[in-house]
Amino acid sequence: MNNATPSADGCVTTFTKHFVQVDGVQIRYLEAGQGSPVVVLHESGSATPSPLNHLLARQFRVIALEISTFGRTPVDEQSSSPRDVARMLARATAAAGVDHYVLVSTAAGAPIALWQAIDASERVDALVLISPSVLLPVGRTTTSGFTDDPELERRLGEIQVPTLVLLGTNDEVLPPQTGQMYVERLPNCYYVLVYDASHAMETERPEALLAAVCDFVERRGAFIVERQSTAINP
Amino acid sequence: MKASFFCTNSYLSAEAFRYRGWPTPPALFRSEVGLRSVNFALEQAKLADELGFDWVSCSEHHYTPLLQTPNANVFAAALSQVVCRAKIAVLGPLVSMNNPVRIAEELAMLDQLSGGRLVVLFLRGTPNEFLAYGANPDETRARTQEASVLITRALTEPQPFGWEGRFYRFRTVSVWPGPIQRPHPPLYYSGNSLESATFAAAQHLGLGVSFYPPHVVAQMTGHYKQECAKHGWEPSPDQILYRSFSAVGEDDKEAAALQAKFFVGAGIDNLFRGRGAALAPPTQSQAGFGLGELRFCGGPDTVVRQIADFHEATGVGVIDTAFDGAGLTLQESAKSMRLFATEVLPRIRHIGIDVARQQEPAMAATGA
Repeated sequence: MNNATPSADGCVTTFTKHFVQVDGVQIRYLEAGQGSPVVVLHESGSATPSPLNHLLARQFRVIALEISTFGRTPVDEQSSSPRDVARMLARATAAAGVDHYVLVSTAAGAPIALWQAIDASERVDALVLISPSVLLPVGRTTTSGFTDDPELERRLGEIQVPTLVLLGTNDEVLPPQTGQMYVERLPNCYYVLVYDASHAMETERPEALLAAVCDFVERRGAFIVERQSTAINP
Repeated sequence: MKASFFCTNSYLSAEAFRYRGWPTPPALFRSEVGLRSVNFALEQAKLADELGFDWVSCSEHHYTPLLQTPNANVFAAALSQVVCRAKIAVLGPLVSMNNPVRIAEELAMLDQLSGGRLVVLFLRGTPNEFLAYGANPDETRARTQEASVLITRALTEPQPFGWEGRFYRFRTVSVWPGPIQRPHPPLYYSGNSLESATFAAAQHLGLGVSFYPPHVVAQMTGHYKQECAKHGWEPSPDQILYRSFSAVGEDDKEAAALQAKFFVGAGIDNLFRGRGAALAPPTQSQAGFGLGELRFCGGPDTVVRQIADFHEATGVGVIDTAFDGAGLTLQESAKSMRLFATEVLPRIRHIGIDVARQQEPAMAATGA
């Protein structure tokens, strides 16, 4: 079954549906594009590719994994913690024939992505966390959408892979100091503000973060170097 | 009520003002006049400080002898060294046309050089000035909004960050030095339109309105306060400022004589002639804006009454005013300023003060 949805500029990217078996559990993923593999953890609902995924598929091989606690994939009751889900999805990625990849997550998918970066560090080449709902300022209690995982917070300093955190300036869910917290806790973290973007920027304004994500996927930390020509009359 | 002396750094020779149109050719600049002009401006600023003005201000304008401050931050740096007590008010940088990160860096330096006395108003600029740096006029409102948000974040983010905007992209921003005032110096946003006032309210910025007559200012400030309430806050009088021209005489008759010759040549309208006519002038320059009007003019009693009435109608708590439109002698403009400082300022201090005292905790929280 194909899943073809027009992106914001009308271009159609066709995602094909696949299934892999991991420990007896069937996990669904959607795939499109060619090139360097980018594994995307979708936020919620069915594995409908987001507008950002469609745009990424123009440059990369995008594998959109359906997290087992959401959507129509049979729920494995033993795989309920983010770490367990992360391990299962890492095995699913291997079963899909992907050895090394950049991992992209949105909001509540961030704990799963971070655990993968800890437990499968030899395979995760870089992390992209969009509006990540993991860290809260000291004194703030966990609210809906945030994961209370003290062990994950203690081990964030182990994540050596380059990590890009993207936050919208109009995000009313995450506190303003979110970006600095990730930079302070992860040893190799870059933090980018996306102007006029909300918490749901992946679906509302994917074009606004596309350049930063693509540059980071291709060049990692070197994405801070401007390579586009500014010559007017070369 | 606070008073700010608008230090225009006007060119002290009528020859340049006889040129019709904008821009004024650099060929009309004489070095000795230019030097005399800037030294006089700095002397005026020092005098304003000694006379008790709360702020000394400057503003970015381009290609004109009327206001020789194309880089307001450079001039403000000089002001910070001769003005020892009053705040240094940059009202303001034209953020639609300049590098926002560079502006943030300069503002932080200014706050440092002034010992934490900086005040800033983010301005968009007038259409003729968009031509100076090749800014697309249709984009300047949106650029002004984005730049003001970026500058504020650049002054307050404690870690290096990147910026993906509609008009600006920076992959690494890490302003050093930081501002002395925390979280940042008092910030204002140009409020010469309802849209701008709406934006200022949403961003918790003070409001700066210029030259409009009282009934129009009242519309802007009334709308601004309503929008602030929607966002859960109330501005203090100090967070609403008004830019104007003023002339104070010994009496109303003397002030009328000053008014008759206040502006020289085509005055402010000259900015929208010549190449300045390539773009439609702002609605502000059309009848009803008051760009070339003396808002406060008269003997001391008259001016006190005018300011009191103005505050009553608009809620403005800071009057930023210039005492010369390049048409007065140095002695006339200096006397006007002295009369304002000694005969008017002491009698308007109490205006709006009760409201300000009630809101002091809120002002501290917003950096105002």
